[in-house]
Amino acid sequence: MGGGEAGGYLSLADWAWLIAFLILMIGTGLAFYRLARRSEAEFFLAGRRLPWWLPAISVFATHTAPDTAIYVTGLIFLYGAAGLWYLIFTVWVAVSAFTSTRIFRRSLAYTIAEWQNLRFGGLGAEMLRGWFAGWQFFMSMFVLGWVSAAMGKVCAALFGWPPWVGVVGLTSLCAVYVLAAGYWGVVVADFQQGVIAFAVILVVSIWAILAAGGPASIIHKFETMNSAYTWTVPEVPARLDRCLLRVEANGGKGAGGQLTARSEGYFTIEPAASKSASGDQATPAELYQQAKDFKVLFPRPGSVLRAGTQVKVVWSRLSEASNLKLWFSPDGGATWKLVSDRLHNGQAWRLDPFGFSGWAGGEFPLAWFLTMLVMAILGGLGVGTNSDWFVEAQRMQSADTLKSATFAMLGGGLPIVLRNGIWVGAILGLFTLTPHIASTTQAEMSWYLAGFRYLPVGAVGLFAAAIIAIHLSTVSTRLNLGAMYATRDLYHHYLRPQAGERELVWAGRVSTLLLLLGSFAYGLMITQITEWLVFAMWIMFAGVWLPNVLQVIWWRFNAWGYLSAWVSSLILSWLVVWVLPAYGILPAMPDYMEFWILLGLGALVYVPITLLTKPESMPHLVRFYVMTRPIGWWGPVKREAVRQGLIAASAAAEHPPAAWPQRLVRAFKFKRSWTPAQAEEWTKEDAIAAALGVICFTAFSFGVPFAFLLRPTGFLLLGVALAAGTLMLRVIRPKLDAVSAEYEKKQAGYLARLEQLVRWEQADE
Amino acid sequence: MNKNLAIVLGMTIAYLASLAGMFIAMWAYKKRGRQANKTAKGGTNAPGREQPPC
Repeated sequence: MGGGEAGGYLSLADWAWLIAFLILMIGTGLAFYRLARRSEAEFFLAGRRLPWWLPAISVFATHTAPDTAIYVTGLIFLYGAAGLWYLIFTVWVAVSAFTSTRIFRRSLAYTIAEWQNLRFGGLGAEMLRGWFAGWQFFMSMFVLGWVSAAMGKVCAALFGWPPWVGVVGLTSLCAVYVLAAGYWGVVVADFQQGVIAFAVILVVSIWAILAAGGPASIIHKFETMNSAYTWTVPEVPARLDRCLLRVEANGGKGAGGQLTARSEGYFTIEPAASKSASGDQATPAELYQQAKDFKVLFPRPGSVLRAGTQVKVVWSRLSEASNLKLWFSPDGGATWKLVSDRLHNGQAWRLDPFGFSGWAGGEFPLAWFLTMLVMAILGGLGVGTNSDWFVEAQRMQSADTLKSATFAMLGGGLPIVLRNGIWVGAILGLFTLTPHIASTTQAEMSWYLAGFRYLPVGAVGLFAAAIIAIHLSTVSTRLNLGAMYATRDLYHHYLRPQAGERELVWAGRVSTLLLLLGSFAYGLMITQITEWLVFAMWIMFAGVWLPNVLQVIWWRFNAWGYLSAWVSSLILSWLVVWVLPAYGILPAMPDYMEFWILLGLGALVYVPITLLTKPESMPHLVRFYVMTRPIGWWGPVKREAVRQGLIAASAAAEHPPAAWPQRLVRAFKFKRSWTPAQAEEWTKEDAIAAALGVICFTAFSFGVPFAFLLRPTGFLLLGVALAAGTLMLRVIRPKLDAVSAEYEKKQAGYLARLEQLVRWEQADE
Repeated sequence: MNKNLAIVLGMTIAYLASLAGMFIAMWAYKKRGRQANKTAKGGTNAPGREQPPC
C-alpha cells in the first residue's frame, strides 16, 4: 500500500488518525443498534423524531461524495468561475423547502412510491408503487456501484490501493453500521462525516489558496497569463513533420485591424500507434507567464506530438484582441483547417461568472444554463423531479416536525452551496499553479493532490479520513434508502402486510445486504455500463420530469398518465437520442435540446391518456387534498372538501378594493400572525420565501469564491445572500410556526391511517 | 462491449427491476381484491370508508 501519488505523504501519525476516525464512525453508528431494531419506523426514519440539523447535515454529507470533488475540479478547470452554474441546480432545494417539502412531509409517506399510492388510487396507483419501488431498488444499487467505482479510482490514484479496496472494502465497512443500526446509524455517522468533511474542505482550500501565492497573486496571474486552448491532436495516417498552428484575432492598430500569430517553426505529429513519439505533450508552465510578441509559444519548433492526445496550445495574450480563431496546417502552410473560432484571449475570462459560449453554440451555451435553471426552479414544485429528491424525501420524514423538515432542506442545501463556493475559490488558485495540465483526468485530481502536498504531517491523515468519510456517507444513505423501498413498498405492502416490526427490521437488513452485493457487481464488473447509464438515465428522466411536477400541481393528472409517461419516455428517448439521428432523420443535438424535445413529445402521449381515462375518484382525491394541501390547480377537489366540511373555505384575508398605491403597500406587507386555517393556504409569503431562498443560495454560490479571492464583488454578494436569507426567515417563520403547530395535532391520526393502508386494512375507494 | 450494447443491457436491467415490482403489485392487488370480496360476502369485517382525521 502507499504506492499512489499521495501514499507517500501519509506518516504513521496520519495512519493513526485515519484508523481512529474509521473506528469512531463505525462505532458511533453501531451504538444505535438497540434503537434501530425496535421497528420499521426506527430502522428507516429514526422514529420521525430528529431535530432539523441532523437530517440537514446528513443531506450535505450524502451529496458530498469522492467523485463530487473530481467533478467540480474538472468543471472549474474547463470553464473557470462560470462552471459554478453547473452546480446551481441545488437551488431546487430552496424552492422545494417552501412548497413540495411541506406537501410531501404532510403525507407522512416513507417513500415517494408510497406518496404516489396516496395521491393516485386503485390498480394504477398500486402498479405505480410497485414500479417505483423496483426502480428505486435498482437505482440505489446502480448509484452504489457508481460511487464505489469512483472511490476505487480515487484510492488507486491517491494511495495506490487496488480498486477493490474502494469498491468492496470500504463499502462493506460502511454496511456494518447500516445493517446493524439502519437510518439511525446512517444519520449519526453522517453527522460526524459531514462535520469532518466540511472542516477539511475549508482547511485544504485555504491551504491551496495560500500555496498559489494568496488572493492578490492569483488575480494578478489570471490577468497576465497567456492564452491557451486544449487541442486534441488530430489523427494522421503517417508521421507529419511540417505542422503549423496559426491564431488570428481582430484588434491591433486602427479599426478592423487583423493580427496573426504563427508557430515559429514546424512541429511533428506522430500517428497514435507509433512507438517512437518523444511524448513532448506537456506545455511548460512558465510559458503562461512570458510576455512576448503575438506568437504561438507551444507547440514549439521541433515538438513531437502524438495523435489523439490532448495538448495545451499556448499563444501570447494581447490586451485588445478579440474574435480569436485557431487554424492548423499539416503541410507547412499550404492548406489550413479551422480548429476553433471560440478562443479566449488570456486567462482573465476564468474569473468571469458569465463566460458563456453564446446563446446556443459552443460548449457552454446560455440555452443550456436556462434549461437547467428551469429544471431546478420549476422542479422544486414537484416530487421526485431529480435523483437527489429520493434522499431528501427520507430526511424530510425523519424530521420531528413540519417546520424541522423545511429547515432540514434549507440547512442541507446551504452547506452544499458554501462547499461548492469554497472549492471553486481554491481550484481557481490551483489552476494558476498548474495551467499546463491538458489531461482532464489529471486536472480533476488537482484538489485532492493539493491536500496531500500542502497539508502538514498529521493533518494529512485527517484529510484521508475526510475522503473516506464522504464515501461512507453516500454509500450508507443509498444502502438504507434502497432497502427502505424494498421493505416498505415491496415486502411490507405487497408480500407480508401483516408482518411484525421485528420481521420488517430483518427484511430491511436482508434488503441492505442484497443491495451491497449488487453494488459490488456494478462497481467491479461493469464500470462501463455504469458510466454510460448516467447519460441514459438523464435522457430518460426528461420524459418524466414534467409528470413529476404535474402530479403535485394538477388534480386531473392520474396514475395512467404517469405510467404512460414512463413507458413513452423509454421509447422516445431511444428514438430521439439514438435511432433517428443514426438514420439521419434527426440531427445530433445538444443535450438541452434533447430534453425539450423529449418533454414535448412525452406530453403528446401522457396528456391525452390522462384526459381520456377517468380521473382518480373524488373521495380519494379529497382525502389526499385535506391531508397534504397540494399547490396548484386543485379547484374541484378543494370545493368538494369545503362542501363536506373537511376544510374551511378560503381563509386568506379578503381585502376591499383599493387604489394602486395601497395595493402596492399591501403587496410588500407581510402577515405576522396567522390563524391555522389561514396558514394552510398557499400565499404570497411562500412564493416570496422561495424566491429569496433562490437569491440567497445563488449569491452565496458566487459570493464565497470571490470573497476567498478578496474581490469586492464577493463581499457584496455575501451581503446580498445574508440579507436575502434573513428576510426569507422573517417572511416565512410566523406562517411556518402556525402551519406546523396545526399539523402536529393531526399527525397521530394520519399515521394510524397510513399504517392501515400499508396493511390493506382499509378500503381506500 | 460497445456503448449502445452496454446501455441496452443496463436499461434492460433497470426496466426488468421496475416491471418485477409492478407485477408483484398487480398480484397483491388482485389477491386483496379476492379476499375483500370473500369477506364482504361473509358479512363480517367488510372494509369500510373512513374520513380523514382532521
